[in-house]
Amino acid sequence: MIFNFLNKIDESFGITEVKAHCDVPCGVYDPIPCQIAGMTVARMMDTITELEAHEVKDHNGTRDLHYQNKITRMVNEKERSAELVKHEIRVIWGDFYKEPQFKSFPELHNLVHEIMLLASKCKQNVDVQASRDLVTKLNRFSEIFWEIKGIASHTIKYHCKPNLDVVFPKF
Amino acid sequence: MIKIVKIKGHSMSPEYSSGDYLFLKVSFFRKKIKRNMKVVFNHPYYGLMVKRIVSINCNGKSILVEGIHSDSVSTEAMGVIPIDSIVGVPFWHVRQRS
Repeated sequence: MIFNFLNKIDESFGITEVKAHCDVPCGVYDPIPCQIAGMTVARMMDTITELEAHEVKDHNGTRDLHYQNKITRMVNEKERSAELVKHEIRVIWGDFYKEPQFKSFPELHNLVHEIMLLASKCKQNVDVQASRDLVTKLNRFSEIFWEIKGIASHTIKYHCKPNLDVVFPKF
Repeated sequence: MIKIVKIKGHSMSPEYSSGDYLFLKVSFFRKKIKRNMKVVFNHPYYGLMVKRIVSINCNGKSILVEGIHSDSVSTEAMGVIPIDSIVGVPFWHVRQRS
C-alpha cells in the first residue's frame, strides 16, 4: 500500500533517484537451474538402476555394447548435472549472498556444504536416496533464496519423472 | 527533515532492489555515522548514490564506500567521499513487494 502510494507520488511529482550503480549489467541469480540439475541427477539414478535390473532380468546380464553405450550416457549426464548443481550453488552462495543474509539465515553455510557433499556422493555412487536428499536440500536453499528476494514460494510436484516435490517461486 | 528517494540499479541487492524507496534522515546524522551504515551521497562523477560505508578515515572527514552486490562499482573507483557530500542516511526502506 505504501509502495503504491509512493509510486503515485513518483508518477505525479517525480521522486529523486539514487544510483545503486554497477560496473557491468548485474548478474541474474536464480536457483531454478540447480534444482532442475538436481532432479536430473535423481532421474539418472532411477534410469541407471532400472536399466541394470532390466539387463539382469531380460538379457542374462550380458551387458553388451548397446547396454554399455546407454549406461555411459546416463552416468555422463549424472556427472554433468551434479557438477552443474555445485557450480550454480557456489555462484549464488559466493556472489549473491552477503553478510546480512548469512546473519538472517545462519544455516546457509552448512546447507551449502551439505549440498556439495551430496552432489559429490551422487557423482561417486549410484545412490537413489542421496539424489533425493540432494533435491530436498536444494529446495531448502531455494526457499531461503526466495524469502531473501521477498518473493513467495510454494512446493509443487515437478512435472517430469520422478515427480519430486520442488520449491518454486509464485510468480 | 526527511527526504524520499527511489533506488535505481542493483548494486545494493539483495538488501535494496531497484525501484524500492528509501526515507532519508537529512539532518543531524553526521555525528552518528559509523561503519556498515548505508548512506546517500553526491559523487562528482556518478551523481547521487547509495552505498555502504566500509571505513571512516582517521580525521573523520571522509569515508570509503562499497556496494553490497559483487558487480558494484568498486570502492577504489568511487574514491574517498567527503563527509560533507553525504546527503542523508536511510531510516525506512519500502520494498516493491511490501
